[in-house]
Amino acid sequence: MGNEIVERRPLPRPRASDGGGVDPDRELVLRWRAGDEGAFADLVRRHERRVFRLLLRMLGSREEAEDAAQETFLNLHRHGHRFRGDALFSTFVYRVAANAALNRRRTLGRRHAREEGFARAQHEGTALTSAPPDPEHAAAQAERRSAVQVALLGLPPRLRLPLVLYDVEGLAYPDIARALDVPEGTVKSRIHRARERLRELLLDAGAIGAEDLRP
Amino acid sequence: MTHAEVRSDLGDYLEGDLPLARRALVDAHLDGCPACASRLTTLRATVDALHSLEDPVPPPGLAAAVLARIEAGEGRAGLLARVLASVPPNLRMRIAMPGLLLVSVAVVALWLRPDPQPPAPARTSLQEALGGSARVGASSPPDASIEERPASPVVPPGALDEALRDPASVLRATAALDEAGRDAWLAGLAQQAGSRERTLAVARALRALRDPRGPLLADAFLRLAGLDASP
Ligand SMILES: [Zn+2]
Repeated sequence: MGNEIVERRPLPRPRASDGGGVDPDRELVLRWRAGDEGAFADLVRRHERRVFRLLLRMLGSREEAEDAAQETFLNLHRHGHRFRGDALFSTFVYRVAANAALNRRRTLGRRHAREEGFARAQHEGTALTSAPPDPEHAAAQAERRSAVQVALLGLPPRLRLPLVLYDVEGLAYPDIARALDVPEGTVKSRIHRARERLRELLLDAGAIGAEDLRP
Repeated sequence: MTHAEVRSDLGDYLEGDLPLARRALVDAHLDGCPACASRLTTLRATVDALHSLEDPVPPPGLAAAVLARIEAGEGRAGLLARVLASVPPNLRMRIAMPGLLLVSVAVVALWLRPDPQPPAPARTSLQEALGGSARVGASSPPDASIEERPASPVVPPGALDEALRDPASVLRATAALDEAGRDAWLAGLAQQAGSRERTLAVARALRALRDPRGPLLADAFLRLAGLDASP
C-alpha cells in the first residue's frame, strides 16, 4: 500500500574512493616540491573551487569562506611539503581546509558565528542564485537553499564537516576518514546522525514536509 | 521489525548499504507503517536538499590574493625573510647566517628524499604532515623546529606608531605566527605603547578592522598589556 508514496530507490552514488589510479595532482606536487612556485599557483587554481565550496557550507558566509580559503592555501604552502603522497593530494587539501574551518569557528566564537552567520546565510542564500527563468519558482528554490544553509549551521561542526564532505563534496567514506583522521565507522555514523539532525531542523523550518510526503 | 530498528536502518537503506535480506524486512515494515515511510521520505528530501545547494563560484581574486600573500612572505619560504625584516640591519647578518644554513639543509633534505615514499599508515603521515597547525589530532612534526617556528619575533621600533597609523600592519606582522609567536609579538607591542591611553587606542583600532581577526587581536593585546578585555 505504501508503494505509491514512498520512493524506494537508493540514492545515486557518483562518489568513488581514491583507492587506485594515479593522483591527478602528482605532477604539480612534484614540481612544486622541486622549487617551482608556478606549480603551486596551478594547485591553488585547481583546488580553489572545492576549498571555497566546503568553507562556504561550513561557515555560511562568502566573506569568511574567502578568508578561510586564503588561510587554507597559506597553510598548504607552509606545510604541504610534508605531504607524502599516500593519499590523494585533494584529500590532504580537504584536511587543511577542514582545519581552517574548525579553527575559524573557534576563533570567531559561537555567538558571533551564530548571529552573523545566520543573517549572512539568509542574505546570501537568496542573493547568490543566478538569473532565473521562472522568478517565482526560483525565489522558492532560493529560499529553500538558504534554509538548508541555515540548518547546516545549526549542526555541531563535528557532524557538519563529514556531512558536507559526503553530501556536498561527494567524497567516499574512506577519504573522509583520512581527511578528518577518524575511523571510517565513525564517519559513517556521524553522517547518518547529521542527516537525521538536519532532517529535524528542516522540518522545523518548514523547508521540507508536506510537499515531500505527496507522491 | 520494530519502528526503532527500522529507523536506525533508514540511513543505510537510503544509501543502498543494507544486505538484501535486511532490506526486504525494512520494505515489509514500510509497506505497513506510514510513520516510518514518511520518515524515509523526509530523510530523502533532506539529502535532496543538500544536493540541490548551488555550486558557488569562488571570488575571482582568491588565487591572486593567496599568491600575493605568499609573495609578501606569508608562505613557507618567506619565514626567514620575515624574521629578518623585523630585526635591525646591523644584527641581520649574524642571524641570517645560521638561519640560511638551516634552510639550505632543509632544502637539500627535501631534494634527497626518495620520491615514492615507503608505505606508511595514511592517518599517521597526514597527521604529521599537518603538524603544528593540525587541529584534528595534532602531533608534533619531527622537522618543525627547522622552519616553522621563528624563535621569538622581534617587534621593530616604531611598530606601535605604525599600528596606530595602519592597524592592519599588526595583522600582517602576526599573520604567519603561531599563537605563542603572536602573543610574544603583541606583548612587545604593548611594551612600546607605554601608556594606558595608547594601549587602548591600538585595541580600538584593531577592533575596528574589517578583518575578523581584528577583535581577537585586540582582546589578546589588551590581555597581554595587563588590561581587562571587557569594556
Ligand atoms: Zn514503523
